[in-house]
Amino acid sequence: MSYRILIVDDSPGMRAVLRRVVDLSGLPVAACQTACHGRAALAILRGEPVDLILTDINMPEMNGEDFVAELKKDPALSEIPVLVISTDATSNRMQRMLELGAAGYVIKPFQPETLRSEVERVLGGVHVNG
Amino acid sequence: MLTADVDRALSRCTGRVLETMCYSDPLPITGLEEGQALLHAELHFHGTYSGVFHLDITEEAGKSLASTFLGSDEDLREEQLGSVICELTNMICGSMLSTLDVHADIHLDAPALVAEDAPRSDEVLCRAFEIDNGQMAVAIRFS
Repeated sequence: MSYRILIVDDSPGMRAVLRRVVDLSGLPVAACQTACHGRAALAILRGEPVDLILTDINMPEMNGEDFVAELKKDPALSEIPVLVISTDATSNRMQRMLELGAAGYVIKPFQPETLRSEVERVLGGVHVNG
Repeated sequence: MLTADVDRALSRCTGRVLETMCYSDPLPITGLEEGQALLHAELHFHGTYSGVFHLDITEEAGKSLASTFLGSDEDLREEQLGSVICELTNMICGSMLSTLDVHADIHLDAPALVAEDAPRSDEVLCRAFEIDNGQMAVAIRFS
């Protein structure tokens, strides 16, 4: 069993950090793709299976809030767990993202262990075939 | 919003971001030394509070933080350095505004590298730090 992960963030530096945490997590990862905003992420998701999405909120083209809302409207994609990773620690924003259907919310800056345990928690609820 | 609260949050959030993401322990100093080559980033924010956040950092210190942030010993490309400086700007500003008012509605624009260093005036609250291989300063102005 191995996982396919999609990282959505407009910052190349942050994408690299998230990818490194995933690579070093010890989790079996079959593929780790990246997208620089929600619209690019949706295009990937409509072509390939993904088991977990890590997404930022503030992004150009389509922000994380609109991205998660679109995702949850699509029956083919709505069951994919989404972990939000953002600097925004305000209660309204966190509540809105969780109400939209995000499975978790990690506040930047984060310890790699914090992100890894959240990824493991969320993937714990994912049943992957193959 | 009290200036003392903003001041405290500016220092605390800068320290938290650098310690957590770059394993760096910034030491407060009175200001940046003159004549150093600096990288400048700025970020505009809107919502419950509006204004602009600035980060100025000496080039060598920026490279050092970026290498640790990315976990890479290889020579950094210019765009990698810029991306990390912008992300640190984003994290410090977002962390600070959330700390100041957890019930606020905040929108952060994309941070960008700019040519000019942070403006100096009574309306701008600024803090400077000694860090690995150089210095940095953060500043915020509410509009």
